Amino acid sequence: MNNLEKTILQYLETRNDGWTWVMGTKVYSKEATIEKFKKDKRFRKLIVEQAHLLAIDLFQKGSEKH
Amino acid sequence: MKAIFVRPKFDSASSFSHLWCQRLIDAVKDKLESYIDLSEEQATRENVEKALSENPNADFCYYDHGNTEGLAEQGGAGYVIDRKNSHILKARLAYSMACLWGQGGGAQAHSEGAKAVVAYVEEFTFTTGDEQYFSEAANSGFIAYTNGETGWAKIKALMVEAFNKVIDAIQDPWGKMWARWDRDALRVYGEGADTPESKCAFRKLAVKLFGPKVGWKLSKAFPASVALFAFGLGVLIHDYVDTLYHAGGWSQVFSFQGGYFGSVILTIGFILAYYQVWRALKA
Repeated sequence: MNNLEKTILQYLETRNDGWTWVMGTKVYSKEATIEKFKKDKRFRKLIVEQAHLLAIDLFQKGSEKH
Repeated sequence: MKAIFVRPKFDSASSFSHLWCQRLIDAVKDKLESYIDLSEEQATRENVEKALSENPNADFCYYDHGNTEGLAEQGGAGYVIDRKNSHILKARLAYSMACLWGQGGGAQAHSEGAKAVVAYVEEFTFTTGDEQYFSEAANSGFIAYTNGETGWAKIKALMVEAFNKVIDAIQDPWGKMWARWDRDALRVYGEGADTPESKCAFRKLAVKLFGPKVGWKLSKAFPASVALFAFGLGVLIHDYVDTLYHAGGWSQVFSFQGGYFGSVILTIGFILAYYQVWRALKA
C-alpha cells in the first residue's frame, strides 16, 4: 500500500461503528469497507482515483475563489 | 403540471430513495395540478404503464434501483420501465434518481422522444450520515422544474451547483468524494444539455450509422447476426473459389460464374431485409 492508501485505511479505521455508506444496491458498514479496501484491488484503485479527483476538484475550487 | 412518482422500497438502500422521493413530493405537491404516488407495493410495471397511459401529460419521476436496462419495480425482480416500454415516456420529463439508467435505457427513452431525461451513468453513492444533503441535490432539478425552469442546460447547471454545495457542506471526505462522483455521473438529456454517449464500441457505431433513434434500440444480437452472415458468406465464397481453382485454374476463377451472382443476390437480399428492419425501427 502506498501512503495515500495507508491514509485512507487509517481514516476508515477511525470511523464510528455505525458509519455506513450506500453504493447502488449495497450498504457498506465500516468493517465491510475496511475488508473490501484491503482485499479488493479494483475497489482500492477506484477509491484512490476518486480521492485524486476530489483533491483536483478542491484545489480548482480554491483557485476560483481567489 | 401533473406528475407520477414511482418509489419502490424493498431493501436498506431503497428505504433512503423512498424517503428522498417523499421529501420531493412534499416540496413540490403544492405546485402540481395533481400527482400519483406509486409507492412500495403500488410500484409495479402494470400500475406504472396504466398511470402513464391514463395521464398522457404527466411527467415521470422515479426513485429507486436502476441499471442500464431499466428501472426496478417493487421487489427488484422486474422493471417498471425497460427498453421494451420506454416509448411511453415520450413527450414527458423522465426524472430519475437511480443507478446507471443514463447509460442505456435513459438514453433510449430520450431518443424515443422523452422531453428530457435526468439520469445517472454510474451507481448513485452516498454516506448515510449526510444523506439529507445528497437528497437535496438529487431533488433539486425537479424542484427547479416545478418552479417553472424549463431550460435543460440551466437545470443541469443548478443540479451541478447543488452537488457542489454538498461537497462544500459535508465534513466527511468519504462523503465529499461520492458527492463529486454523483455530480459527474449526472446526465440531463434534453435540448441544449447533454447528449447520450455509450462506452460500448458497437453501440457508438450503431448510433453513428443508424442515428440515435435506431442505434439505441439495437441489441447485441444485431452485430452478432451481421458477423454470422459475413462469416458464412466468406466460408461459402472461399470454398466455391477453391473448387473452381481445382476444376480449371485461375481462368475458371476469374470467369463469370453463377455462384458469384448468387452471392451478390444473397447480399442484396440481406441488405434489403435489414433496410426494412431499420425503417420499421425508425418509424
